[in-house]
Amino acid sequence: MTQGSNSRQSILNRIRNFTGREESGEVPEKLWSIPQPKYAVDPGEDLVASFTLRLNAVHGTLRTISDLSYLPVAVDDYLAESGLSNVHEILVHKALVSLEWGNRSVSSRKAAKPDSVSVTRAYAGISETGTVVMISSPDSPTTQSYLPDTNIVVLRESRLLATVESLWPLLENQPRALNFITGPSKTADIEQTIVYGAHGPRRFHVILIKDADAN
Amino acid sequence: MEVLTHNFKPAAKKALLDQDLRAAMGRAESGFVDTRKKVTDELLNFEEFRSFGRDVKNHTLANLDYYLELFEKNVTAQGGHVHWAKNGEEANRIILDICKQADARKIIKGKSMVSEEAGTNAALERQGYKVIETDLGEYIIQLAGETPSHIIAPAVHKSKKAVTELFDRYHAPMGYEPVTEHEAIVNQARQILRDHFCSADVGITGGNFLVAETGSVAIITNEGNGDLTSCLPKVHIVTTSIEKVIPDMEALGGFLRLLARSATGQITSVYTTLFNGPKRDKDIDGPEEFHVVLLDNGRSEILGSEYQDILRCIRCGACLNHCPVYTSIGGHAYGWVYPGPMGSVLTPILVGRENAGDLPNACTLNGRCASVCPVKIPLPSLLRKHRSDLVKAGSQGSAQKVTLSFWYALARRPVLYGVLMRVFNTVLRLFSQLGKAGQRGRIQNLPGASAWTSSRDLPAPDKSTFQALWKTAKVSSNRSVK
Amino acid sequence: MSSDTQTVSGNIGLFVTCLVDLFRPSVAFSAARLLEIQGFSVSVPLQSCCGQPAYNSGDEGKTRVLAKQFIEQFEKFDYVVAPSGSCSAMVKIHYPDLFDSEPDWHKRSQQLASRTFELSEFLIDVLKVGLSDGDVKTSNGLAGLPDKLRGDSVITYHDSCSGLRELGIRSQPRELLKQGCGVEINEMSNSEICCGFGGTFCVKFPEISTRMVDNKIEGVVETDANILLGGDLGCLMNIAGRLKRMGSKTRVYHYAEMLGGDSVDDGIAGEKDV
Repeated sequence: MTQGSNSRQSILNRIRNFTGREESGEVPEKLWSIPQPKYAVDPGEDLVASFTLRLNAVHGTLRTISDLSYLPVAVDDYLAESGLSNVHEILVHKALVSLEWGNRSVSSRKAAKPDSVSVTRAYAGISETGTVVMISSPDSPTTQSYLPDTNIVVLRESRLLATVESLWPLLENQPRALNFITGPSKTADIEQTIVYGAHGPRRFHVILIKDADAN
Repeated sequence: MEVLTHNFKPAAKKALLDQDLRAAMGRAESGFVDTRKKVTDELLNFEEFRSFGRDVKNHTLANLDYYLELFEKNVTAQGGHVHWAKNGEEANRIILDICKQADARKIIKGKSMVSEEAGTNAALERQGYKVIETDLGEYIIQLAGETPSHIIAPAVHKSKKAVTELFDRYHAPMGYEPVTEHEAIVNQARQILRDHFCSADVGITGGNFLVAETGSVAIITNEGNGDLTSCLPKVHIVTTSIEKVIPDMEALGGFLRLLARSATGQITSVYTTLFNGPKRDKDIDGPEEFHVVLLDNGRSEILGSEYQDILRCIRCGACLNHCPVYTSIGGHAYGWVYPGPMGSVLTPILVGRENAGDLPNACTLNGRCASVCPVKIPLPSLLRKHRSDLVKAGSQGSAQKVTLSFWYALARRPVLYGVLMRVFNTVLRLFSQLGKAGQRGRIQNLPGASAWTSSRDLPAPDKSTFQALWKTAKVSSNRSVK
Repeated sequence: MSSDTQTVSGNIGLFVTCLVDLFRPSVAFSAARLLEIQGFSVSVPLQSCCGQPAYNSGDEGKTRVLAKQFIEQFEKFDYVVAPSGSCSAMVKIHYPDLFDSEPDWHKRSQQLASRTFELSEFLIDVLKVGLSDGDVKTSNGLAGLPDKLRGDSVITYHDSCSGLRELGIRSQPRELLKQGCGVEINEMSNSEICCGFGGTFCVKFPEISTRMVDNKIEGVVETDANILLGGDLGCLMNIAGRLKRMGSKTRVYHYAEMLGGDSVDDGIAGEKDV
């Protein structure tokens, strides 16, 4: 659209009046070398403890299991505790479909309004903030993390990182959506009082798998 | 958004009489201020992060064209589209065009101050589109027909009672029961908005940071509405502005540590998402189209000006929360999109200083805002610059001009100054003697001083001026004169 | 200039400040006395205004003229000391900013700035009074408080914004009061929030200013204080004026008056019959 590219050019021209760059593409001499200060609240050696502390502080819960095969039992337990035993169909990450789900019916489709429980798989966890990192893919549709009322996230201890800086080198390509999720959805828009489950899940539960080699 | 900045004085006076507003701002003030202090104290080198934020932003602004083009290149490579808009009207034309091409009917929105600036909702509604705000605070003020009063918490001025009344009025016809408690209110909104999330054709969100290195748009919420708005409809439009770009992920990490702490006293928001374009090949959800609308609206002209530092602003709202003027009068009195200290700097530049002269003047220059700004914007200096530019343009009030000129004429002539001060001192002492016994230390009414005496007594001197007394004492004790 | 403790001496140009000159000379007399006791000779050069009202109103031209006048009046002294955070900040922080395009004046203003101090800043940070041997040379302790109020006074403190944020003055007056009068401040929760004076602000936006001073007074009242102290007369007149209008019995003084040896019964806007 000519009009659009005119605006583009005039905006860039005005900016170049200031930056002094003559043409596009000229790379700044010193791209940037401003080091970020060292993150001064040390998550400490015990990443799991730190992660759990931060997660609990925002109304998320965590349980540990020793192997992925125990996941369906852990999910059953959590749903029972939450009064959701009678939920029949749950959404799960594609890779979890083949586990022993017993009577529950599982699907890895994208989420729809009536869905109440999803079991998603985190790409990583960040101990500094109690955050799980989700990556959109055909096996892990984004809507599974946001539409259902209850979101259970499976995280391997070996994927628990201290800070977000450790994450960047792990990402080879940028996914369509990279979601950092820390606890259940909330709002304080009514008189500064926190209410959970504004739009995203109101219940947020992490199931941590203690990998053999947790490095 | 309509510009009502010239209305500042009467609007502020009216706001001060609103007891509901006073209670609401009191809650907000203690909520935001105390929580922020706790989490910034905990991050032991928060000051270093503030310097980092300032330096990265300055570097980016110094190379803004490079980073914007890099951002555009990377968004495009991922199948997204970048549009450049000189002003709000152009931004709206672009958005309307996208909606038309997408055959849209219903449009949902995450919170975007840039869209408020451009008046996007009104432009869309004029063309027959249904527009629904999904951020709970924005939804509330949309029902109320109001504008946001805070850049992070748009409905901060509303009491729970006001919200329940609104919901009752607008939701009852849809068959919903009246609600009174916080949880029930949020649940009702959740139910209603869920329907909209799942039936909208276009989702418009803001963009907190634009990462040049990867072509990513970062959207930060606690509710999750930003993510639902962007992954459910078939078109996702980001309305943002040119100074939101940052170099890379390393920079993003630093800014994330600054933003949530400064804005709401959290160490991180619940949802921070980086969007990299539309649906990929085998994705089963996500938008089919991804558009970023970059708004200029005068920002490129601020570059290189004396006001450039304001372009560092990351819209955290900390300056608002710590400003005793803002917390007294609320955001609406400022008359446009951006209130508080950063608004008082930015608004006169974007809407014209002649219309908005009261904003930089309604400040005691106490500096609390600057002390909490995560990117170290020298807000009081910038406000003083506006005052200086107003003086140069001859726009300061005439009463002020006359008084200041008189004061200046005296101050330049110290001997005359001394004489007139002694005279004024005597007048004040005489006036104070008119008071009742026991009240002669103060004056309750003084011609010409009603702005002071309408609510305060004026302390009266009980002896002559210091310089007069000192001279007398010196003379009588023969102290040496320098 | 040596900055050894106890051995610093020299001559001080007392920067009185307009409000003190016109409304409350006892503040400057107290300051002068405090400085003389430390071994300095104190002079009061003929002075008017440092230009702050013009500066904050945006009139840099007028400010520069007054600044040059002030520099000429004061640069002959070893030190310039003011019983006010905002006035001393004007000289220390803002004078050099005024002369970006006049290198000679810039140099002179910087030199003067480096020798200009707020009173408590000078006593504590420069002279390091009282910190080495705990003995502040003031005139006899609680002489500043009215007889009736000694012993069961609750004293709180208002931190004026300029002094606090431009000069970092917070602990110095408290330290002085502790050393010199044995006073412990009963801190208010909002001691650091602006009182709404702001120079011309309080008369340009009186309703907002009144709200701000009312908020400040809420903080004072919460501490049950019967005495309020501070370091800037503008703030203190604002708060005292509102307190009196509300019928409060709380007395307001400049901290220097507690240490200067004057017997000040009244407080700012105070009643003569106690």
